[in-house]
Amino acid sequence: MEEVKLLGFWPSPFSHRVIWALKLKGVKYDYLEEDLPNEKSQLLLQYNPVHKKIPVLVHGGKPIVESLVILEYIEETWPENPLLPKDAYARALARFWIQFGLQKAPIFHAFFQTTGEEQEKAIKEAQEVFKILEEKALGNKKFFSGDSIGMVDIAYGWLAYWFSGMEEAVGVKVLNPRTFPRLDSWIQDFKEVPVIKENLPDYANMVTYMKFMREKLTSHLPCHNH
Amino acid sequence: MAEVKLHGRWYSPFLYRVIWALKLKGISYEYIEEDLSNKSPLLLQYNPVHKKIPVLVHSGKPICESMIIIEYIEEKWPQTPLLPSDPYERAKARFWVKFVEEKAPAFWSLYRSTGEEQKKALKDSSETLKIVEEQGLGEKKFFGGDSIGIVDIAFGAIAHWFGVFEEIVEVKVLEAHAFPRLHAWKVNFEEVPVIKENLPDRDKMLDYFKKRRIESLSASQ
Repeated sequence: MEEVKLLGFWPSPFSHRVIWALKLKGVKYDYLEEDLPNEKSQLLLQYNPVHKKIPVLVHGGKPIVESLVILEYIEETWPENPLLPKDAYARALARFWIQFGLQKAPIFHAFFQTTGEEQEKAIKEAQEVFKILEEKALGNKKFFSGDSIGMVDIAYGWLAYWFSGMEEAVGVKVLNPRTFPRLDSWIQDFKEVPVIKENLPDYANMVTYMKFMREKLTSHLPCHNH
Repeated sequence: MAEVKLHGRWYSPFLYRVIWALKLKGISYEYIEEDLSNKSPLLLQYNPVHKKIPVLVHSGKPICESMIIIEYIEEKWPQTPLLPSDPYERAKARFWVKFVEEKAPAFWSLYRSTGEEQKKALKDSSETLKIVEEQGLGEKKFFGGDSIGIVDIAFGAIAHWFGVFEEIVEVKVLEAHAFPRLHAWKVNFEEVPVIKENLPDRDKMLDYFKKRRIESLSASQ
């Protein structure tokens, strides 16, 4: 069995996508923590010269980068406990929703990194995204992938845990359980899945980190909230 | 044989990616031109989230987003594979597809903007071309190796339309002396019969995009 290593960063939701996929499939791996606030390791720069980012999965010495690309690689290499449906059309739909999350990421960056009018706009757009996710992606299903979690749920994992940390750091609640009851149910159910529950960063530490990042990203802006 | 329909707009690079994939695999399909200024109820039904083309409709079921459509086509029609068979090589291909998609806005920006914004687009697109040439293409003839694959299709659309934009804004970026291997790749890519025979009319493109640029720049005054 070839060696599997994962270069990650403890508060990163992208790192956690890979951890969850590996754990769900029972793949053993060595975890290497990157000291990101300080210096990027030589190993990281060698494995990911284009983006210089984690996560990096290293399988038999060969690096794979970009969390969503890594998920597809894991799915193909370890087919047990599939994270994507068998049917090609259902797979296309799953990929569509994963892509949708990626396309809307700038909205959430704006929510976290701006203040004032720009942030107001981001909040409205974020709520539109939640509405679409609830009505069109989740529907009446327990998870995005059906009765058990799959790649789409893993891709949106940040929303189930990290987003409330962002809300706390910003000081604004956007994902109101009364406005988005089905999404809220999904969040609670997702966090209860054993592999997920046992593989999340400490909540208080994550919030502290979010607050630190928020301050760093907005200190140059006028009227920023603490 | 189940029915394949493709909804598109003649000047869309995203449409052409799908056309190339279908043609390379010898898949018959019906093409439906959409009027994007007056979107059809059918388009809105097939793509309610984005309301965009291309949409592939297979046996009545719609698939949206060009690269997702291509992954679907690859799975349903495995002949003339567009992705390598080895999972690691597939991961590399998907990495480059993601990379060019992420960096594409700079290429459109060169066409859409002026002044400082355009200067930035010039810088960004040059940096992207350098990375793509050195780390994506390397010494290969095509991104897919000896024959074209998914990365060639993804980037080929961006590069071809970029060529039209370069002509309109009179700024040359993807030049032989600056990017010798990438330039050669583009020439080779556009010589592949399926690609060569499936490109929108260049004069029509120049005319359309010139008009659109004038309209959008005057609207933003």
